[in-house]
Amino acid sequence: MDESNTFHLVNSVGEYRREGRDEFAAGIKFAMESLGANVIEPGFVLSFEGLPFTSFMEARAVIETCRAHARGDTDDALALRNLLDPPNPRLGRVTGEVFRDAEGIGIKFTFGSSGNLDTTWRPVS
Amino acid sequence: MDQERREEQLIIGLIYECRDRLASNDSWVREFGGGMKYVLDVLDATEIEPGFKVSIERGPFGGEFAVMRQLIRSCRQEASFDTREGNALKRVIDGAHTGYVFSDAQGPGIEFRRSDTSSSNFTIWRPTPKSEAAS
Repeated sequence: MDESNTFHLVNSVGEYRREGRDEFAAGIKFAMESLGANVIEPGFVLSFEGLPFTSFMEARAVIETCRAHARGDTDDALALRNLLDPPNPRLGRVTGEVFRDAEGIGIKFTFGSSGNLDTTWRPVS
Repeated sequence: MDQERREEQLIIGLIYECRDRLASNDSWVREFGGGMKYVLDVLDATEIEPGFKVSIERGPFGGEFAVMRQLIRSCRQEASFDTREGNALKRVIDGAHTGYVFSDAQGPGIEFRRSDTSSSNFTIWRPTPKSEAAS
């Protein structure tokens, strides 16, 4: 799927919401999610709410950084690795959502189907 | 089911769902359907062959893109015939036109629209029935 189209559509959701066309934006979001167009890497989903992104490449770079951190042998790396590949089956599947807010870019991990357990990872500056 | 087939089924499902919402009496639901259509249009998800699109508003379109592709091939084959009708159809296909594949009470067809004029300027092509083609 063409990245520029996908990026444009992700941004469109925010633009139409700002225009007050919430239902139209919801339709875009629904179709994109159905097509998996907002999945930038397996398990990592672009956040519609945390826009804007400069590019998909930036989001991917953040994910790569996150994975690199998880490879180390420190307590932090072990914790991060547990998030990426949870050894505890009770936690279920972990999904990552790339977002950006006032503090910068980050990844929000959500556990299981209920989504009520989540944690946020940000690149170490 | 292979990946291509799964993607086709996904698109077909979205087209049907989009069309249902666009036909709703509820303006909010129609607005939601408009958002879905916007995505399908931007991603060219309804384009099944270069220049040929299935119509979201019309239908059903046979349920399978494969059926529609066969229809387009028939159209192209007919256009290659050295007949008056074939040459006319060839000019339509080769021109700056977009083909919308649809199905109505009379059966499947392709609606050609000129991209540089108003939507009222269009030509309909329907496959020649086999019984007529044989006679």
